[in-house]
Parts: sequence; structure tokens; C-alpha cells
Amino acid sequence: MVQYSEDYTIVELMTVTLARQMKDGEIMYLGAAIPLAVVATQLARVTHAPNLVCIYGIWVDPDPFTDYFSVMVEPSALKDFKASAFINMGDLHDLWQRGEVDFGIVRPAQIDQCGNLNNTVIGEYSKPTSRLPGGVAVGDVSHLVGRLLIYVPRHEPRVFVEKVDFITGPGHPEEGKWRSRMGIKGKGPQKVITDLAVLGFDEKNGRMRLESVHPGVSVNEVQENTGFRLIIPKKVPETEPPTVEQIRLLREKIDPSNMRGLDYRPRT
Amino acid sequence: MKEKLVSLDEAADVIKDGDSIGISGASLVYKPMAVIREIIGHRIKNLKVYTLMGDIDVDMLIGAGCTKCVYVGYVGFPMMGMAPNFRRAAENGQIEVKEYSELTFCLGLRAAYMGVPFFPTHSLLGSDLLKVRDDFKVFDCPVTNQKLVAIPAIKPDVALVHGYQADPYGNVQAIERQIMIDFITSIAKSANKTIVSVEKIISHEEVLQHPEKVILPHYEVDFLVEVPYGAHPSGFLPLYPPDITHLAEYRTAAAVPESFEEYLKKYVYKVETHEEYLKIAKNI
Repeated sequence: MVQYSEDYTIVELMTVTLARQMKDGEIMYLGAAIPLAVVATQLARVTHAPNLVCIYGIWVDPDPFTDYFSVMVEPSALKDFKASAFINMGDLHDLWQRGEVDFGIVRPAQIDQCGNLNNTVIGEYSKPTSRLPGGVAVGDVSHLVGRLLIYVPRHEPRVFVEKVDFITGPGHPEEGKWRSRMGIKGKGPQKVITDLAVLGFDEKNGRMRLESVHPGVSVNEVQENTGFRLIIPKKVPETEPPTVEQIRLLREKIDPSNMRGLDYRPRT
Repeated sequence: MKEKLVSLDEAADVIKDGDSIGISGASLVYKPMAVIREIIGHRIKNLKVYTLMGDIDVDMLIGAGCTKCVYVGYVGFPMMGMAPNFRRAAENGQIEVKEYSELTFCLGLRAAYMGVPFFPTHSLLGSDLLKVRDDFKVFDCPVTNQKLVAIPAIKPDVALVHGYQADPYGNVQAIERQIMIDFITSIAKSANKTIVSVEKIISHEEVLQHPEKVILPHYEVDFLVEVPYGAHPSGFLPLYPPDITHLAEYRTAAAVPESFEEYLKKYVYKVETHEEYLKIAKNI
């Protein structure tokens, strides 16, 4: 009998929901600067997916009980830091290109109703109103990994836009027919996990669809915070809450320094 | 074998106005910062800067007015925030940004060091990067008839890389548990000339005893400089971490051009030697 937690934060719910998308035995890739996704992956590995192959940057299977803050700033922690392998960037890219990575996780600055992702600019490319840091792997993993999991720490209309200002990585254009027409290996964006809801994409037309709302969040609230009309099924379930054990592992073992909450800004 | 040792000043003299430079490292580690500060001190202009993941290296070269165009996948301070000079200069049109994806940047280097004109990939079809990069050409694969993208070879005039240790001939060795070694070797092999700064110079005898530790053999290296903490304020893992305190000071200063000019005066223009710089800048 699963015992659900009644004492968890929204960040912990997002972390656990992301972890639940990961299957045992898969190979996953994660770039830099998504702390919540690092913690979610480690949680999956110590619970339901012990054989998940985790490639975090160039670290293969980094120790789930290492505090990553200390790895970045403490030379001594670095010297003792455990992993199966340190690979080269080229080795990682070869794995992508061969189509052997099952999923990746990205955090877009903008996402539109077809799942197109923008991490490049707001406004015009040559004279942007806001120059973003750049897409790094987004343009690549949109094609080359099996599926993309999207994480958005704050669900709001400026992120969920009708049409992205710049397509750094494509989602499901041409009513969802583009990938099969072009023979693209990767299935593209599959799930979008936010602080309000879990969203997916309709198989018929590639448009974004509401899949579940987090406990205490209404369907209306999700729609109001989305800059385009979502596909909303008649019955929208509630997102499954974290278990007592998942919360204990997060707080005590995997992420005592709360790295998972680094990029979350609470709603006022 | 020829000895390659030069001073920081002589190393920066290799770079001319308008050159293209490739920079090693990523995500605030292994950046050849001592050489970059020296280039800024020499007031070099109109550089074309190649690096996959730029942070303080690219941002400082932009803020000091040395840069015309950047060829990058990302410029920012991971876990800290945006790169202030990069963002400002891109938004007001002072620099041109030629964005790559991670894979395509590395394939451009791979083409260069393999000596072929381009490398093909499935990536970026459907991405607007193809609209703003007219040098990336879509073509029909002669084998499968699929659409592919040709990424042209990246061949900078000069590569700037920072390594652990080398003998005077430029046989560069890695430290144990060093990561992202191909971010050093790929850019070094792709460029026409390579300047390597190292944490320390060792004897040729030591290299002869451990040739397996060499990541760049001497024939890949043109100029060699000894600069302990030469990556500061980026890190050299696992020898020393990024200097988070200094990086925070940098980002605060870079928020507006006036205070950034003060930063440059304090840590670049008025500093005579690298030792002097470390005395005032290093918190690790």
C-alpha cells in the first residue's frame, strides 16, 4: 500500500512528477543548469529506476548521494566524487547521433502550442529585445533523443506563448506530421511539467493538451496562465502526489541542501 | 623538438586585430583567463570569438571592446545568471551573435581537425538556426537521400587553451580526474596556431616517464606560457574550483559599463604581472 505524503512543497511535487517519467533501464541525458532535473534523476535512480543510465553533462552515473553544490565549489569533494565514467563531449554526441539516448530534459524560455522551444532570443534574432544565453543542446536533443521532457518552474503566459519568437528546437509542426515526413528519429517534446500542471501533446494534431492539474490548482487557472488555447479533456485528473518515502529521500538523502528549489520563484 | 616557452606578453602579441580565436573550456572551468586578460590589456580589436559555452571569457572580451562577433552555443554564468556584457552588446547591436547548437559547434571542430570541409548531421532541421546561419547548408544525402545539414569546419586563427602541465616543448599532460579533455584538444587541433597556458612547467624527463598522460603532443602546440591559477576566476577541476566570490563581484561590476570599466582598470589595465593579479583577485 503506497503511503502518500501530505506534507510536500510544489517544488517537491514537480521533482517527483519528473522522476516518474523516467523508466528503469533507459539512457538519459541532462545538460547543465537544471538543478531540479538533476535531483529528479537521482530520485528515480534510488527508487523505481535503479538501472537508469544517467549522463549528467559528461559524468556517467554520478553518485546519487553527492551534494552537487559542494562538488562545484570544494576541490576536496571533487577529488572524491564518484561516477562510473567521465566521458568526453564527443562521446556524448556520438551517443546522441546514434539515437541511443532515450530521453533528455530541457527548460525553455518560451514554448508554444506545438511544443516548439525557444532559448535563443525574445524579439528579432539580429536585434533582440532580450538576448537569452543560447540553446546549447536544445536544437540537437529535439531531434536526436527518443523523447524530450520539458520542465518549466513557473507556468505563465510569457513562457507559454502562441508562437515562439525563435525556434531553437522544433516540437510538432505541421499538425504533428513533420517528424514522420522528415524521418526524424526523436519523438520530440512529450511531457511538460510546471508548477501548476502536467501537459502532453495530442497524437492527432501535435497540439498541447492538459493531462493533470496539481492538487489545489483549477483547470481555469492553468488556462489563464497559458498564452494559447489548450486542449482540455472533459475529465482532468489530479497529479499523483509524492509518497512519504520519496519526500524522505529527497530531504534527507539526495538533496538536503535544496538544490531542487534553486530556480523556483514562489507565486505571490 | 623546439622549446615553445614565451611570456604572457609575447603570447598576446601573437593575436592581431580582426583575428578569429577559439577558447577552451566550458561552464566556468578550464578557461585560459590569464591570456585573455593579457589580450584585453593589449587592446586588441574586432576579434571573432569561438567557444561552445562562454562565460567570463567571452563576456570580458565583449565588455572590453575587443570583440566584433561571437560564435557560441551559450553565453552565461551557469547557476549564477546571465552574462551582462554579452546580453547588453547583443541587444544594442554592438556585437553579432552566430549561434550554434552544442552538437553543431563540436561537429564544426571535428570537421576542422579531420581536415574535411564540413560534417553532416540530422540535427537542426526545423530549427530557426538554419534561417539565421546561411553558412549551414541543407543537402540531400548521396547515400540515403535524407535531408542533412552540412556544418562547415571551424578553423580559428589562434586557439587559446589552458592545461595542467607541460614540458618546455609543449607536451601537455592532464591532471588526474580532469574532465572535458576534448574541449582542450579539439580546439587546439582545429586552429592554425595554438597558445597553451599551463599551471606548471615540468621537465622533459617527467614526460618521458609518463607519455600516457599527454593529451596534446608538442607538434600541436606553438606557444607555451606558465601561469599558475591561469584559469582564474574560472576553475581548473579538480585542482581548484571556480572563484564564486570573484565571479559574483564581476557580475555586479558588469551590470553597467561604468562600473565594468572600473573592474577592468583594477584587475587588467593597472595590473603589471599575473602574480599581482592573483594577490588582489583570488579568494580561493
